[in-house]
Amino acid sequence: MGNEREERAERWQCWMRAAQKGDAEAYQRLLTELLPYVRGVVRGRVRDDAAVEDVAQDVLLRIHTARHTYHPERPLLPWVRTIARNASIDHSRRWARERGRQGEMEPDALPAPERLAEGPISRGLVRALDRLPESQREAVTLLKLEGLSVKEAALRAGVSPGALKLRAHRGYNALRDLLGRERS
Amino acid sequence: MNEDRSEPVDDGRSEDLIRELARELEPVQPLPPLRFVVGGLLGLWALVAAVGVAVLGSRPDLAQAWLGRGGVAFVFGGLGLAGVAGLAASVALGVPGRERLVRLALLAAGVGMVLAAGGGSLLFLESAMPWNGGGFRADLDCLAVALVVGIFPGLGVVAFAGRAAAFRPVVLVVAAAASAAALGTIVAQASCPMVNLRHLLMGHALAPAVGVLVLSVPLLVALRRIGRVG
Repeated sequence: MGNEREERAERWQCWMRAAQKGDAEAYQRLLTELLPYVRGVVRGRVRDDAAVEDVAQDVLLRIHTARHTYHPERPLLPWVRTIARNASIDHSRRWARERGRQGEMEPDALPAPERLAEGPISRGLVRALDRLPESQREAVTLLKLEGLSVKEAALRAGVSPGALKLRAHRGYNALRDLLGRERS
Repeated sequence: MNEDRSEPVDDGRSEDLIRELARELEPVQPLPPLRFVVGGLLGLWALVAAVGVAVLGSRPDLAQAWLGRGGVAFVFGGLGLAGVAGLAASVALGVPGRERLVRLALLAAGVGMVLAAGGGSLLFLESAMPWNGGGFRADLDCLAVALVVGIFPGLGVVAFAGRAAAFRPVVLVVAAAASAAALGTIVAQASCPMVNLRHLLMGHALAPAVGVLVLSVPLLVALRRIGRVG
């Protein structure tokens, strides 16, 4: 059992090193084998099953964007575990914030959608959305403004759900940067 | 680890995402080992410190001032330890999976601060130095030297963290600011001719706290502008 784990850890490390050099096949194998492990780490902090899958996907995206921070000589699992834990903590904080905000809002106080675009925050958001690449803007709009599910949005955009999710993730990051710059 | 108890709840989206990520994979250059990064930052600090001492001039009784009184050696040995360890902690905070190093480095930085505080108390209790002398202006001058010298390794940490993946940017910049100012104040001590306890505490030993107050926000802004936080 211990041996098996060691072998597995070594195999994953090997694939990660290959992935850093651009080996897509090794990378796909690695992420596929890592997924259940990632889910397990996330499940330790996030109870809702649907949210677990969303956070696990966020972890995959974070692994992808931070893959250069893995040092080839070091064990891979602590690196993955930290990324998974951080993503779970981010999710829990976001969830708590949103819950707090919903609790504070009176239903009558919710602004009408057409009035949203008149507020200073929304004007900034609209400007920032305009500056996104077309594919990212479409993904964010379909998911967040039109409220479609990933599957529906992917169908509408004519891409796979994975591709749509990737575009949306990039769009959120770009929006965060643009809005942060505008604020400061 | 509880990874084995997770039953698949995926409806194919995660597999799609994996395929997509693999399809767009490009080779990346891994970050250098952290010891090289910390070594590089200390080298940068040493260079700036050498220039600083050359410009400001070193005090003539440098060896005696540092080693003649045990308390002074403790104060600056402690600040040096806090500076190096804090720098290592802030660099490690930018890389996932290095929590153990972060904890150890923060512990060492804490020990350094305790040593520095102990050295200050020793000087006070032994009345080894006069209390008064100089003034507020002299305190500010030495703090300014500490911050000007410290900003270079501080920016170095931010430049590194911007390429890495900082999850706790606030903790990172606070550690970077405190450690950078602690390292900077060593240069102030090497050039400051004043021998009085009040100035030693206000103008030198308080530098890490002043560093946190003055440098944290600009370093955080710089990190958010150039960096990848996540």
